[in-house]
Amino acid sequence: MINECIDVSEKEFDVVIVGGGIAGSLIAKQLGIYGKKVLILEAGESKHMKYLDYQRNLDLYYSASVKSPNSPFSSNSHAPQPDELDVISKIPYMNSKGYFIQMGPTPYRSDYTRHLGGATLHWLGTCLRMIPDDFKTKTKFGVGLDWPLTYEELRPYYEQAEYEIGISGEVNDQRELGQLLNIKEEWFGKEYVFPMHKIPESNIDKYLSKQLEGKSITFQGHQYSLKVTSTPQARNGIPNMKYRYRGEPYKPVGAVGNDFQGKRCVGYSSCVPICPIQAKYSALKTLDSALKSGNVTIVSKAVVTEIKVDGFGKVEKVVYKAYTSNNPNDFSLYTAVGKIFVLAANPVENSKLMLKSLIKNDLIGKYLMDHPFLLTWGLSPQLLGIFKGPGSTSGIESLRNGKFREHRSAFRIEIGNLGWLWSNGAPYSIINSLVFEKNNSGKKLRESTYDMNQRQIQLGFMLEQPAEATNRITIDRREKDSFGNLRPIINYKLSEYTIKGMEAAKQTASTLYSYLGAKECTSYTDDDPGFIQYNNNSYAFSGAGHFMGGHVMGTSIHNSVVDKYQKVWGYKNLFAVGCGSLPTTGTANPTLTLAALALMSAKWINNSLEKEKITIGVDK
Amino acid sequence: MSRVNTYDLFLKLSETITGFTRVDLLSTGLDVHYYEFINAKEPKTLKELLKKYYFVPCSDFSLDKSYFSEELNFLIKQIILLWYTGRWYINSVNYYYLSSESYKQGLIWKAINAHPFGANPTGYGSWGKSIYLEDINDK
Ligand SMILES: Cc1cc2nc3c(=O)[nH]c(=O)nc-3n(C[C@H](O)[C@H](O)[C@H](O)COP(=O)(O)OP(=O)(O)OC[C@H]3O[C@@H](n4cnc5c(N)ncnc54)[C@H](O)[C@@H]3O)c2cc1C
Ligand code: SF4
Repeated sequence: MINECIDVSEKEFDVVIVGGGIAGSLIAKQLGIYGKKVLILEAGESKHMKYLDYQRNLDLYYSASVKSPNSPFSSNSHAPQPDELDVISKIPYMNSKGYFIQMGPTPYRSDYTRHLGGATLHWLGTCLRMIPDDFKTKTKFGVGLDWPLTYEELRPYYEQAEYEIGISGEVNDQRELGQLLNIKEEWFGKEYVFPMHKIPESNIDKYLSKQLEGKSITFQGHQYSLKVTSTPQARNGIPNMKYRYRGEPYKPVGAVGNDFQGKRCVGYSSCVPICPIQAKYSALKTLDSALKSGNVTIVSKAVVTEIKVDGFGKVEKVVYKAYTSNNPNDFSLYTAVGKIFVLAANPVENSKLMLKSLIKNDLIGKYLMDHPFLLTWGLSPQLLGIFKGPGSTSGIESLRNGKFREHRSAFRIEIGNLGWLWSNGAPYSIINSLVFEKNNSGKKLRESTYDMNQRQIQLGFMLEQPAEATNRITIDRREKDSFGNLRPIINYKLSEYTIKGMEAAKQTASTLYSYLGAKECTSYTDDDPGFIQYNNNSYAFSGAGHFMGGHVMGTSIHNSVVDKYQKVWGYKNLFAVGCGSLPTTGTANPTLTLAALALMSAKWINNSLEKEKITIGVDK
Repeated sequence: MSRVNTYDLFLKLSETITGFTRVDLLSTGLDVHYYEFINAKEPKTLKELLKKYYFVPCSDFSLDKSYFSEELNFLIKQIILLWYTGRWYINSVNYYYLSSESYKQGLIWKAINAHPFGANPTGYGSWGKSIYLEDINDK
């Protein structure tokens, strides 16, 4: 049942979940299936669970002059959201005119959206597993933090997550990659296949794959292959008949409210920020099936503002602001009661809530991370057949692990299918300069537009970022917006370890463009908010949208906020789930790992409810 | 010049400056809309432009030459970009979309052999079937 802004204080739930993004919805669905009574309190709107209302967001996208991730998902004053367009400068103060207060010294450049479904509404859907070494970077490379669990423990949940999300991919491509990455553990189970066959590689994938065959790059005497690997992704393709996770082949899940649509990706190329037919997974699908259990209630337009704890470390209730209109005074405060409380509002909002509610742990908000993203671009001698298909269908993944991680970040390389769209605003930027600067018109203009766009190569380098306590989310009770919302305060800096990774990334880019016979066109200007100079070279990084850290997991209350089941240390019935729990970023886009962890937590929560013992809360 | 005539002349001019045929222009379904929009926005300049265009030999048309005044030149650029992008450029940097339809009907997508992101999808796997790279297709 979905309701808007109602009072639920009379009811008692087994589990109250704050936030209806992928983390919250996966847990709700599992617990609903197990017969538990679940409440999801969602800050944003829920009307796009109706197919036609979802479609209306598309119109916002079409007419938006800048087609940024949040362009179809407008900001809501009762549940404000950051926007990547808020970052306009290197001066922290200038970047603080939106929701975040950016303290710098470098800007945090990612955003999220606060509507039911969360950031999966506008994500790309790349779903790589982390590699086993990512779970022990401290032990293995002397950098960052170790996880309190191993890859092996999480592997069954990765499989479950790939089922719940619906992944298209070729497992043998991953296995081959595993060898290049020197993975000794069983990365993918022996018989395992993905639910659906891989999404076909794009023209540029195939071109790069051929040109880079057998090519490598050397770092500190070690040779690393530059092989192109297909990307497992959260979009519907052709079911793999060998897949047997639930005893039968996978059935692609169509659009919410219109199951005839979206069972297979048809190449709308607008995955970020909105897939018109919902062939790309979003949490709306999981919420839809969670509702079918009959045990899940969603209340939207309900912003949780505080967690109330009794004197014994037990959460009694959460307070939420139920608003009815876009007027600052148009809201009521209600409470929700349950046995277990799960914060699934994303790293920033989870941290903000815990800080505001005086949850006791000095590490809350600390270790904020992202995958700093270095865009590079070049012009190929060959026409490529791009500007079609999903944003990316392959990557160069072979530099995600190596001894170099002792002194610099690893990275993965995303091959773009949409030319210089992200780096330069192509194809528009091209025609703009042809007309305004070069005075082109007529046939010549048409030909140049074609030629200059169809040769574009864009390679995005997604860098690992180790946890550092000084990168953090804080609050100041005086810093509220006009609706009384506390504004997150962000301190953020890239360490030399990551910048050295950027240096290696840029070298790799140059090597790649030269193997491709392409003209490298990358240039970074110092008016870019992410501009950095290092060893006399210039770089400019963007955000990947991958908020991580803020309530990292660990082995004790002294080194972490949550345990490996994402239960908050020292509290009997409070969980904080999502990418906020990740102690390391690795180089995999993080949501698949978030999903695996959420599924593990769901199982654990269910077991504890089953036992009905106070086992919940036995800190080791 | 009568209304029908100037509209017709507007289309002829548009063919010359965009490099697209009349059929391409009409296929957007926005020809009348664009004409009326510009006519409402810049009535005098448009009239002057069309008058002047009437006397230019088509083959001799170029924006580099100073045949047109700066003002007319800028309007020509605005018209080109309107057809290509569906945007109305206020200056070389600032613009807005006339409508969500004008975004989708931008001829730039046709010019680069692609499709507007978020509309007119090209079909499952179409992104791996190049017209240029036959040799590496479906190996
Ligand atoms: C442009 C972009 C592209 C991305 N691409 C990828 C990708 O390819 N692969 C990948 O792995 N990841 C990607 N990501 C990251 C991914 O989207 C996120 O990691 C993921 O969606 C986070 O899920 P979540 O459920 O933890 O949080 P969210 O999605 O942020 O959901 C949190 C929910 O909680 C609600 N909420 C917030 N505060 C409150 C409150 N106080 N009370 C009640 N409810 C609240 C929000 O409205 C929201 O619905 C991308 C992100 C962006 C921005
Ligand atoms: S390419 Fe198109 S259909 Fe496919 S997932 Fe992206 S937006 Fe959806």
